[in-house]
Amino acid sequence: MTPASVRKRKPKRDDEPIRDLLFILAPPRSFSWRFCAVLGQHPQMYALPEMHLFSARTVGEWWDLCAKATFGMADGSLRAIAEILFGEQTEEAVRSASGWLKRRTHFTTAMVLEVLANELRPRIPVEKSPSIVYSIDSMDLAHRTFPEAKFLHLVRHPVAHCDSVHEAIDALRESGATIEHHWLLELANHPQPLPSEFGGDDARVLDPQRGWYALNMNICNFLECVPRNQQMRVKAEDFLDAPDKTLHGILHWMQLSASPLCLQKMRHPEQSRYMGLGPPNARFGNDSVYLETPSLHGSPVTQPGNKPVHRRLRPEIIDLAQKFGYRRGLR
Amino acid sequence: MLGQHPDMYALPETNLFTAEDLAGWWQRSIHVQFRMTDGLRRAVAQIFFGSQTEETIRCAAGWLWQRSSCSTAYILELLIDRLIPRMVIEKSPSTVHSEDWLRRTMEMFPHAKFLHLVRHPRGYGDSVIKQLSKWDGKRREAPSWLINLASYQKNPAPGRALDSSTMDPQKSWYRLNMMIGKFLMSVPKKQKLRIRGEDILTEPDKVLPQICAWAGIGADKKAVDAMKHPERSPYAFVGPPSAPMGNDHLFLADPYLRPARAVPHLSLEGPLVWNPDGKGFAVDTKELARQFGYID
Repeated sequence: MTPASVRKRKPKRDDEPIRDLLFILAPPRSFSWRFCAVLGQHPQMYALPEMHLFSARTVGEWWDLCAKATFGMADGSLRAIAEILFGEQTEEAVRSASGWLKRRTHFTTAMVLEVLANELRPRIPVEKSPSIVYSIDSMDLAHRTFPEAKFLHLVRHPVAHCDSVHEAIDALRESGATIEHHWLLELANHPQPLPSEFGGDDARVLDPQRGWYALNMNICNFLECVPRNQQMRVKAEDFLDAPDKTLHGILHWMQLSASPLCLQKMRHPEQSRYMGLGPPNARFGNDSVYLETPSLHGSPVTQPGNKPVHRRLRPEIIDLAQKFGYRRGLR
Repeated sequence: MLGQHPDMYALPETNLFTAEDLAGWWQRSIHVQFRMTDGLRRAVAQIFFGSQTEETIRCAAGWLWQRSSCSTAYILELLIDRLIPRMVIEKSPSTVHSEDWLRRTMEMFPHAKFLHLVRHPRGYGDSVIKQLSKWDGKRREAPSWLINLASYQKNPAPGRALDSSTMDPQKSWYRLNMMIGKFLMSVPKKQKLRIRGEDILTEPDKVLPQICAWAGIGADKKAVDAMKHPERSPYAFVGPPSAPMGNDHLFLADPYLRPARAVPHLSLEGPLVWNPDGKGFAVDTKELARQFGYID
């Protein structure tokens, strides 16, 4: 066994706790990878791909979940470990990363993130796996293991969210892909509606506003336990319409430099090491659509009201959207 | 021998891959009929505590118990980390007794190199029978691992191998080598090499540089000369009373390189000493031996 195949570099010191870590909490289809990649281009931050670590307590449990997942759940972690610990994202490095993770089945998933955060010091890792918002326990685990981490709640207009989910499902159907257990379909059905509510009509069951509500409520409930100064809410539309102003606010909250040079760098998320597809043995790890059109304004933004509303928004959804600051396109 | 190369380090038999985590490894050691933990305790004592004494062996056991929840592969990684930049050599015979254990080595260390060491089936069989015969007349029964090598039963009953009707070590030679061969089919070409043990013993100056070249390390005269002194390994002697083994007891009793031990030009034809009816090797055994380069 050669040392290089075990570890490319000696680990950095890890005797200081990880204080600075940013979690982006957002339901899928919220521009979260684009947002994360923009933040990651700040010289003091580093955007990780979707690692889905907090869906499990230990790496062993995490591997079990990966084996059952209907998407390339391990890809993001394999790419991050290959890049950060083995210096590149090649098939070889991904194999090394896989071995590294397999040897650590006894690690807590938080320890894996800690190892990476140590390697990235002094840069602040930005984590944004959408899976974390499906369970308050997962978010609690992240907060419990990194008690000083910051949490940024990224929201999107419910109508735009619904349109986006429908479009993605339509595109998937047109591509001929099997969608029976696809995460998009589960998102559109989340949480599972009662048969009596929809009369068993599959076509009508697809109602992404339920997922929008359930996942955003998960986040809101979780954030009630997080100190005020460690949380912030941002509207994805504000970020896309006025990125500099929004980023200024975020950087101020993060107590990071908002110099013109930093903002200039953040206009180039396409320079992220995780933009684009990975090697064949770890292809994804981020929004697959955005991986192919990586720029700040790479794909059209669905504005609320531009598309037909598939179902009327329910009152609780309108209430929550208003709480998030949305006024237009709710009725 | 390989471990005496300045760029390599030979571990004793750690038997790590026979379990997923260290708790399982300790558990397993209770049920086997050989001193399964000696090698790893000696290695940890030597590598982390600087020597192999009763005291450091105790410290090593504590160190391993503290890490009961760790995966066994992680323990090996800790040893490798400590031995950087030397290439670590692991050679626990137990690993080749299960497809899962073999697969685990590759899964955990995807870039590891695998050297398939083969021996002539006659030399192998004679050696197994010779070892087994030493238990004749002893009060204790032969250990199940030895009985298993002699008769290759799934659940060997102690003492059964002494029944000559079930004794046929070519079965274990064939099945274990076949299992290794099957596993190696999943290993990239540049990561595997097959070597005949007899060639290393009789032509070390020719074969050892070949192994070094494949492993990507130098093979100057000084390095090759060093490799001809396996007796200089820190594990080439009987360890302290609480961990005496960790390697083949014959090697521990006489760890010097003795080319005369290899009996060249063994035949694949003719009767087998353990077979009272005068039968020779099975067709499959001969075929596999020929693939390994053993010709009549």
